[in-house]
Amino acid sequence: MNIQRGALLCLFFGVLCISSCDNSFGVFAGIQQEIEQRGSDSLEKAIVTDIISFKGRYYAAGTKLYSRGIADSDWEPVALNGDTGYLVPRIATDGVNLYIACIGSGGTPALMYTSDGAAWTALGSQPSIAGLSAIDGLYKAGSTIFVQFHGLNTDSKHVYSIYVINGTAVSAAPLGGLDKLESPMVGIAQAAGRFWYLTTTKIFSGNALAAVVLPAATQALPGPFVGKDDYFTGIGSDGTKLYIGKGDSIWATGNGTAWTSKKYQGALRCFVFAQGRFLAGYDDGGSSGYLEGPAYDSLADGKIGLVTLNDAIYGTTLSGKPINTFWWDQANNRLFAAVCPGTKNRAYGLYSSSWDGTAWSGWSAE
Amino acid sequence: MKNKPALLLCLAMLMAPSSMQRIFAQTPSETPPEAKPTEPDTSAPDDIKEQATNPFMPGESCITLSAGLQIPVFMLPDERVTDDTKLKLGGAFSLGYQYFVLRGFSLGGTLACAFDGTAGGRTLYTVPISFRMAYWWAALPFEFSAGGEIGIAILRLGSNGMITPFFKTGIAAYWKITPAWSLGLQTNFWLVPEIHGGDYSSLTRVGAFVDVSLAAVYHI
Repeated sequence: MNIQRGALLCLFFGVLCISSCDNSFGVFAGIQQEIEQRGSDSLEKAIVTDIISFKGRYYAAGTKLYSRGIADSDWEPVALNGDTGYLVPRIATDGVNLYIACIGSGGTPALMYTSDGAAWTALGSQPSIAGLSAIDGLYKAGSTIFVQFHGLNTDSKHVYSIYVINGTAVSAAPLGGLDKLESPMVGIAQAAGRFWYLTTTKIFSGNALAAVVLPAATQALPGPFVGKDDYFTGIGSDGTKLYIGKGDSIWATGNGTAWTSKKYQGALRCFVFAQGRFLAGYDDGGSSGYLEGPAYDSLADGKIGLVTLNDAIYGTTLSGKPINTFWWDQANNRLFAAVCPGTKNRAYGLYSSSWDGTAWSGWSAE
Repeated sequence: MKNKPALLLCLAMLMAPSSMQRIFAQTPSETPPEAKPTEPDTSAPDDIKEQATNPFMPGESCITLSAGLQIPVFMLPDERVTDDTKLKLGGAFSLGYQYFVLRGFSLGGTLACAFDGTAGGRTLYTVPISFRMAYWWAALPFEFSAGGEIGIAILRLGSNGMITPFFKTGIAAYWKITPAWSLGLQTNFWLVPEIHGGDYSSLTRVGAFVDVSLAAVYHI
C-alpha cells in the first residue's frame, strides 16, 4: 500500500467519522443515564389496557385485574369472588363503585361491580343481546359510565350497542343512535357541555344522554377518510376542547363545528393532560411511543419531553411500546402509561412518572 | 505455505548428520572406501536456522477467526446517575486477514462485532473495522502474536448510533495443529473514544473493553 493510498484511506475514514455522527446523541452518556427497571413480576411482559384508582388502591386491567395499595409497590392479581379464571377485564369507576366487564371463567361475558373491592355483584337489568360474545368496553366521560355490548346482527355481522350504567344497574335501552353500530367505540369523552362518541369512522355527539345524533354538518367532521390509515384512532378532552386522533393528525374543536388540526405521525391513540403537559401516544406500526408538549399543536418526541426526564429513560421504558392509555392521578401527582410491553425481559405493562412540584421523576416500571 | 525449498533444506538438514557419519565411520573389516568426491557443505545456513523460531515468511498470509467474551472496563468520565453497573458482560466475534511483509511482521485488517447488555435492558453493539499490524513468532508447536489496530467503530444503541475512532492492542498464543491450522487464545484491549463537538461536547466519553476469545488461524 503506497503512501498516497494510505493517506486517502485515512481521509476517507476521517470524513466518514465526522459526517456519520449524530452529534446530539451520546451512546456512552446515554448508557450512564440508564436506570435498571425493576417492576412487579405480575406486570412483566403483561399487556395493560387501563389503570384507575378506587378507594385507596390502584387497579390495572390486563389479562387479569391487578391491584396494589397506593402507598405500596407490588401488584397482585384480583380474585372475583374467589375466581381467578376470568380474562381480559375492562374497568371503570365513578368513585362509588368499581365496575368490571370480562370473560368469566365459564367463557361467558360478565358485568359486575364492587363497592368495597372485595365482594363482586352482577349488575342488574343487563340487556339480552342477540349473539352476545363480549362486553368489551367500559368508558367514563365526566361522571358517567358507559358500557359496550358486542353481539351479532341477523346477518351474523358484529354489532355494538352502548348503554349507560346507573349505579348498580344497566340502562333500560341503548343510547339513541348508538344501537347495533357496525364499528366498536374507540372512546367516549365529554367536552364543551356535550358527550362525544367516537368509532373508527364516525363521531356522534349529544347534549344529553338521551339524544345522540351525528353532527349535523358533515363538512364539520375532520376528513375525508382516505383509507384505513386515515381512521379515527383516539379521543380525549381537557374539559373545554375535544381532541381526536385521525390518521396521523390531531384534530381539535371547542364547539363541534369548527375544527383545527396539526399533522404529526402514526395513529394517535390516547391523550392526557397533566401539570401543563399534553401527551399523545402514537403507534404507526413501525414505531411507537408518545409526543409531548405544552399544547396539542406544539408536540415533540417524548424522548426530549419533561415527563420522561431524559432520552435514556425514555429509550428503556416507553419507546417502542404502543401505549394503550394514559391516566393522570391528580390526587397523588402520578402519571401512568399502560402499554403493550413486548416480550423482552424487564419490559413491563405499566409505567409511572411522579410530579414533585417542580420536576418529573421520569418513567419507572410499576 | 511456500515450503518446498524449505522442506528440501530441512530434509537436507536431517540427512546431513547421517551423511557425515558414513563418511568418517569405518570398521576394521571394511576396506577403505574409494575416494569420493568432496560433498557439498549441507549444513543449514543461518537464515534456515532462524526459520525454526520464526517460520512466518514474507509472502505468506493467514486468516484469523475468534469468538469469546466482551468485558466492559470503563466509560469515562464516570457520570452514572446511579452506582450500579451500566454495561454487562457480552460477546465478541472477529474475522481478520494478515499478510506478512517481512519475516514475522504482518499487516492486515479486522472486522469484529461485539454486544453488551445495558442496565436499562438495551443492547450496545460495537462493530470495529480496523487496520492491523502485528509481530508473529513461534516456538513450535506454539505460535505467538502481538499487535495493534486502528480504525473506526460503529456504535449502535437502540435506534441511534455513532461512528467513532477505534484502537485495539493485544496478544495471542496458538498451538499449531496442522501445517494449515492453529488454535489458541487471544486477548485484546479495546479503546473507543466517542467524541462530540460544539454544543454537545459534554457528551464526549471514552469507553474501554477487554475481549478474551478462542481463536483459529488458517495459514495460507
